[in-house]
Order: sequence, then structure tokens, then C-alpha cells
Amino acid sequence: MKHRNHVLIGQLIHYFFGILMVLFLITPLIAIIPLSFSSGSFLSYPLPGLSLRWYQEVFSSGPWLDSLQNSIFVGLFSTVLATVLGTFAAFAMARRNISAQRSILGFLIAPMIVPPVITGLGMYFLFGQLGLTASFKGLVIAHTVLATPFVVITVTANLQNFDMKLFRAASSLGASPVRAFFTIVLPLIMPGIMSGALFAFVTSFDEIVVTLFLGGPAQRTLPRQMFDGIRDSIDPSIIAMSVFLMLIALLTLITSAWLNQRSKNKYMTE
Amino acid sequence: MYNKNFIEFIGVQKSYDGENLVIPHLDLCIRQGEFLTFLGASGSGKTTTLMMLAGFEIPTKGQILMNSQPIQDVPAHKRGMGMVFQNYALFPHMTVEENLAYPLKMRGLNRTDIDKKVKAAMAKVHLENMGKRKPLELSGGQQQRVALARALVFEPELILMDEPLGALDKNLREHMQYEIKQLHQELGVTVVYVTHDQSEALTMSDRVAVFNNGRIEQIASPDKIYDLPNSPYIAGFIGENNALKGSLQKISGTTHRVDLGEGVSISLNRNVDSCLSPAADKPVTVMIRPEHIHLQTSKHSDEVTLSCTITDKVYLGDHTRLIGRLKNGNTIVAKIIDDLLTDETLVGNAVEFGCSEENILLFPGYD
Ligand SMILES: Nc1ncnc2c1ncn2[C@@H]1O[C@H](COP(=O)(O)OP(=O)(O)OP(=O)(O)O)[C@@H](O)[C@H]1O
Ligand SMILES: [Mg+2]
Repeated sequence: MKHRNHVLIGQLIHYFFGILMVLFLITPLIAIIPLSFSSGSFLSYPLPGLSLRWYQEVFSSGPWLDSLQNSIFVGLFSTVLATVLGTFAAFAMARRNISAQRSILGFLIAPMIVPPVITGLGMYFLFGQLGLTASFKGLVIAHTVLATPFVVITVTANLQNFDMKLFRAASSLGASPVRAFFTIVLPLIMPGIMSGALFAFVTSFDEIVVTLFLGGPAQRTLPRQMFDGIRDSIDPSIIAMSVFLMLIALLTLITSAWLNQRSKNKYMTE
Repeated sequence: MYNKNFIEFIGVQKSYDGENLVIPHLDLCIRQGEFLTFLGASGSGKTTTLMMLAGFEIPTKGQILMNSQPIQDVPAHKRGMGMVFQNYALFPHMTVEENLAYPLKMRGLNRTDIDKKVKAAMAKVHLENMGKRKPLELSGGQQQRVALARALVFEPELILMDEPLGALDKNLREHMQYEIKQLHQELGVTVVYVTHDQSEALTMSDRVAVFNNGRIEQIASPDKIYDLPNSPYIAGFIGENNALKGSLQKISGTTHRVDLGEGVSISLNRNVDSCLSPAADKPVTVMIRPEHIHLQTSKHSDEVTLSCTITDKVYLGDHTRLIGRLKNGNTIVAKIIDDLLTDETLVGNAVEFGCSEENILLFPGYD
């Protein structure tokens, strides 16, 4: 009897802290959602009334929509680049026992760890020399650098479940390394690549610090627009955009979880 | 008619880390059309040798020739060797048909030829109705057949198999051994087969190469390996053997005596290997197979006698194992057919084991 009580109490504490943690993390997010439906123009409760006017404002042509377009444009380009580069890098390291593997991996994921201000500053000086500041080219390159580590990490994790014997089998059947990669490896690690690509896109989509350093007026991305919005005039349109971004982040997370699950169930040999 | 030197390993050496020689020195000829098995304990270098042949590992030293042409610089995908892997390595995202079509696609065949060949290959391994399934929807034995068919479908001259039956249960394994053997005879293809199951090696092969510590100890036909092992290692590794340590003395002419210690000795009236015929005492290992020992009723002239006390008796259906102890403490195992047992063969009784001289093997030194 006594033992059972202990277990029960243990479980209660477990749940209590779990729920507390979740509340701690998402309450600030949930708190602002109603504000985006406010009919007034102040960020305060109680709401004067409900309306969709801020969503209308955000999604009608103007600076918000322009910056959304910029973000999507930069995001897509850097995602494609980061995915291609990251996938090849991860495969190279999984295929051969490169002795310097750990240090190389360290370098590859450094942009994820180094504070963005430092990366931004470094890129600002370097790109200034190369004439890449205030250009889409420069911004795409910068975001690619920041997003590649996410692809390397997810694809590397996925490759750990990939049986390298399959690659050998393909070779023995007459496939050149390139063909073996595209016909065998790529289809099997596709879920990992897709979720890496999602992370890459989100990284670029949310990026603000490096963009502040490198972006000119023409490269105003969504986070940049929000940043300026907070400084200048704060009204619920920024909240409406935030809610929209949360929705995108949520979808991304769900998709990536689904992809992971799928890759686990489908091709797990022993 | 066939090329005797289809594949040649000449002075091949292999080290993975640049320090330990996994293969210190390997010379090997593979004949066209033969079924050659690499047999050996775990870690003896069988897979390493196979991988060098397949092109997945590069020899540290030495040469590998195919039809007298060096193949070091030919990448694996251009060597055209069929390969069956231990865990089959079927492509999980492709159906059985797609798996079989893969090597043909890589060779640029057209659709109709591919379909025809895939159908024929599936029929050959009795998988006619499985074409649309994915590998994970098949049993182990069926996956094994797909792997076999995939290695055969592009009609390679040489097929390499690394413990292909290791994951199957005993019955299925024996059945697949038979099928692989049939396919080998039917197609006339050269097979290099790796196993550490000696009965598999003996039943399937034309020749067996026994690996020990990265060297080939002996390469010969199964019956030679079994009856005339060239070292105590082989004699002990293949089948069962009683090993006794002794010292060899020459009495006169062809009369020899092996002193086994504490008054036990056997005398042999036959020639012994020149490397064994010294003037003085020479340490030797005597090997006698349990099935060559019988119960001696009356002594023949070409027989040796070993007087033992029976210490154990194990009934095994078609035969009985008698375990005897010599006066010097050595144990001897004998396989006796049940009909030949008498009322006197009981634990604790004395028994005379007999063995004809020609079945007694002598090796220099102690193993
Ligand atoms: N990739 C590798 N890197 C380093 N050492 C290796 C590698 N592969 C094999 N070895 C070593 O080489 C030796 C021979 O291995 P190999 O795989 O050829 O043995 P095997 O005869 O096939 O054994 P098994 O019956 O267990 O498959 C072993 O000592 C093993 O540890
Ligand atoms: Mg092996």
C-alpha cells in the first residue's frame, strides 16, 4: 500500500512539473493571440471588440506583404542551397571514416553555435569587401551559412539508420557512386532531408540579427519589418503577423515530426 | 576447358590501420566454374579477402588479377561481380521486381529485355508471385532468394557470397544450400562462398580454403581437407579429432614408435613424412578421428591398440560415444556403431580401442 502511494505521488509531481513547464513556455505566446483580433489599435486588455482588421491590414499590399515576399524569396533560395550542401556534407562524413570527421563537423555546425552578432559582424566586413552587402545575393549566402548546420545534423541522424551495405550492393550491381546516391541513398534518407530543409527554411525565415547587418532597404524581411514596427509604432498588426508566423512554425514542427515517424516506421531493417 | 587462373591473388597483404596486418600474405588461384569456399574462424580474414576481390577494399600490397589482367584500378561497379550479402542488402524502397531490374537498368537494357530477364530470374528462385512485394513483406528465406536472384540476373561470371545463409534456421539453410548448389551446376558460374560452418563448406564446395589468422592454411577438395589435413590446426578445426602429444622414435627401417608418456606408446610399421623421420626423439602430435576408432576384438597386424578405461558413454541414436582414459591420463573419444557394443562396454570397465595405422596422422611439434 505504502509503495503504491509513493508511486502515485511521484506521478503527480511528474505531471505537475510537466504541465508547469508547458505553461511557462507557451503562456506568453497564447496571451498575445487574442490581441490580434482586437478592433482597437492598442495592445491592451480588455479588448474593445473583435475584428479581423489587423489581418486585413497585414495581408493587403503594403510593407508587410512586401517583407513577407522578401522573406519567402530569401528563405526558399537559402533552403535549397543549404539542403544540397548539407546533405552532401553529411553523406561524405557518413560514408568514409574521415579521421578529422569531428573537427570538420565542428566547423560545419559552428554558425549554429557562434552568437549571431559575431557572425553578422564578420559577414558585414567580409561581404562589404566583396560588394555583397545590401543585396539579395549576400543575404541568401548568409542565410545559407546559418541554415546548413540544421540540414547537416538532421541528415546525419537519418544516415545513422541507413545501412551502408545498400550502397555497396548498388555498386556491386553496376551503379556508379553518383547513380547509387541518387537511386538508393537519396530516396531512403528523403524524410531526413525534408525535415532538414524545413528547419533551414524556418532558420532563414526567423533570422533577424545578420539581416540587420547585411540587408539594405530592398531586403527588408519579415522579422526586420517587425523589428522596425516595434521601434516605431506598435499596433496589433505586428501581433497578427506573429500569430501567422506561429501557425507556420507549428505546421513545420508537425510536418517534421510526421516525417521522422514515417522514416522510422517504413524502412527500418534490423 | 576452363581457365585455371581465372582470379589470382599474388602476394596480397592487407592492413586497415597501417599497423596490424589482417592479411599478412595471400596467394590464391580461383578456377573458372568452381565453387570455392572460404572457411575459417571469426576474424580470420575471409570477409576482408572477399571485399578486396569485390573492389570494396584495396590491398595494401600485392596484386589481384582477373583473366591475367590486374583489377586494382577497376572500381567495384565496373567489376561485374554478383554479390550476396549476409543480411541480403535488398533495397527496401523497391519492390522485388524493381530490385531485380536494378542491375539491368544500370546496364542500360531496354524494358522488354529487363522484364524478360527479371521473370526468368524469379522463376529460377521460385518467387513467381512475389514480384510486387517489398522486401520487408517477405520471409527471411524469400529475401535470401531475392538477393540470390539479384546477383544472378545480370549473368555475372563470378558470384561472391558472404555468409548468405547465416540468418536462416537449420532446415531452411540446408534447403538453400541445395538450391545454391543446383544453381551453380546449372549456370556454370564461378562461386566464392564465405562461411564459418564447416559442414556447409564440406557439402557445397569443389574446393575449400581454410583461413587461419589471415593465412590460407590449406586449400583442397573437401575429402582431402578431411582425410589429409596438412596441419594439426586443420585436423582439429574440420571435424573432430583426438590429439595426443608424443615423441617419435625410429626403431629400424619403417618401424617407428611414438612414446605418449608413462609407458603408453604406439608402434607404427610404415613410412612417415621425411620431415618427421629423425634419428633422435622428435616431438609429434598424433591425431585420430573418433570414427576411425573401433572396439578391438582380435588384433590385426596393421592396427594399433590403445588400452583405456571407459569413463563415459553417451548414446546418440545411430552411434554411441565412448570416452576412454589412457594410462597416461589422456582422454580418447570413440564413435562406435551401436551393434558393435557388447555387454562389457560399461563405464569403469577396461576396453581395447583399435585403429588402423593408415588412419593415424602425425604432425611435427605440438599445436
Ligand atoms: N573495416 C575494418 N577496419 C578495421 N579492422 C577491420 C575492418 N574489418 C575487419 N577488420 C579486422 O580484420 C580482421 C579480419 O576480419 P574479417 O571481417 O575479414 O574476418 P572474417 O573472417 O570475415 O570473420 P567473421 O567470420 O567474423 O565474419 C579482424 O581482426 C577484424 O577485426
Ligand atoms: Mg566475415
